[in-house]
Amino acid sequence: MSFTFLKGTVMTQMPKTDREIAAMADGLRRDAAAGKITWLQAAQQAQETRNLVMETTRMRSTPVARALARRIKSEGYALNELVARQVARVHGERVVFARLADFEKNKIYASIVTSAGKSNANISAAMRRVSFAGRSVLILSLGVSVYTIATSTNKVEAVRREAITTGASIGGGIAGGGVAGLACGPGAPVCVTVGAFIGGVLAAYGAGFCQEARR
Amino acid sequence: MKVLSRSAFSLKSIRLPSNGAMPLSEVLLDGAPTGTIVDGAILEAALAWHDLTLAFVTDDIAHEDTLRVYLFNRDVALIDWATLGAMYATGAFSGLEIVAPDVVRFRFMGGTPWTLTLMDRPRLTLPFLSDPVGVRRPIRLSRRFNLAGQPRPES
Repeated sequence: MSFTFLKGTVMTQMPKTDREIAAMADGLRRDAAAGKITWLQAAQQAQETRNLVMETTRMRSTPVARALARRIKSEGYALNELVARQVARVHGERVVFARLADFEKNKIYASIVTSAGKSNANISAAMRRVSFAGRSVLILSLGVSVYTIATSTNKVEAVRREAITTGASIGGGIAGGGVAGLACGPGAPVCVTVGAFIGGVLAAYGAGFCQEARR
Repeated sequence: MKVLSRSAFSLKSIRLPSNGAMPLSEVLLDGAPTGTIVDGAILEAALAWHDLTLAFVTDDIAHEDTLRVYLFNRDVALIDWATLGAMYATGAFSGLEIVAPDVVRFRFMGGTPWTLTLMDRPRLTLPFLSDPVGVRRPIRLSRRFNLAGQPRPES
């Protein structure tokens, strides 16, 4: 018996994203400071890359994480809105960006690059917890498989059976989540979780049943 | 209800947002510290209603921002709060308007106008079941304001 079907339900890829975002902002700051690109270009690229990283993170995530991310429509600021907000904070509500000196404009752009490198610590912490839960389930599953193999009289057959069941449960979980996502529409994490769970369980039991039937 | 000026009600940063920590700020009344510390970095707007103050605060994390709605009593003690935000999503606070003496409307995320209704006294409520997607509130059986909207999912 395997618990691996749960792994496909909860696993995410988040911890890497924070590092990628911070590295992106650092790189753009370095390039702008070295004169390879203007600060305006750095701010534009930071804005575009940040959105791209977020979308990539969603695509790399499991169906459940993707559904959670799509539960509610985002409404971010456009670059000119970020500029206006930053000018108001630094120079006051009545100051117009166009009338600032070049070095002051660059400071505003630089602050937008820095801002693009920030991630939400609460969300990152939640993702780490979910990721830890996923790994724990995987380790539990592998532990059960190792025990099953160790106590089996036919070890070669036990390894084959466990490999097929584990593979089927992961694949079934992902497929079940994907199908549920299509059926329920975007932003339905409960539906996708149930779909991934059912897919994982059915695939695991199905694979086990097929192996028994072949004997 | 009336909008408070930045000099009457403001925030002073205690901790800036970073990749390891969320921002914290102290509430200032007429520029004087009150000792009340809240999560958040940027005061988007503050409104006075009877002897209560309603404040809209964001985290200054442009691409994963959260809106924090705080209701303070006359002693600047927090009497109710809510947050509006979601994983891998962000919002942009805009369009604040007072639509009735106890009702304000604004936009943040979800492609919907959000309506906040203040209540004279605590009203009974069921935690977890009474709020739209994206809204988080303290686990209590009563509240002093209601936050309503019809957020749409990402298409």
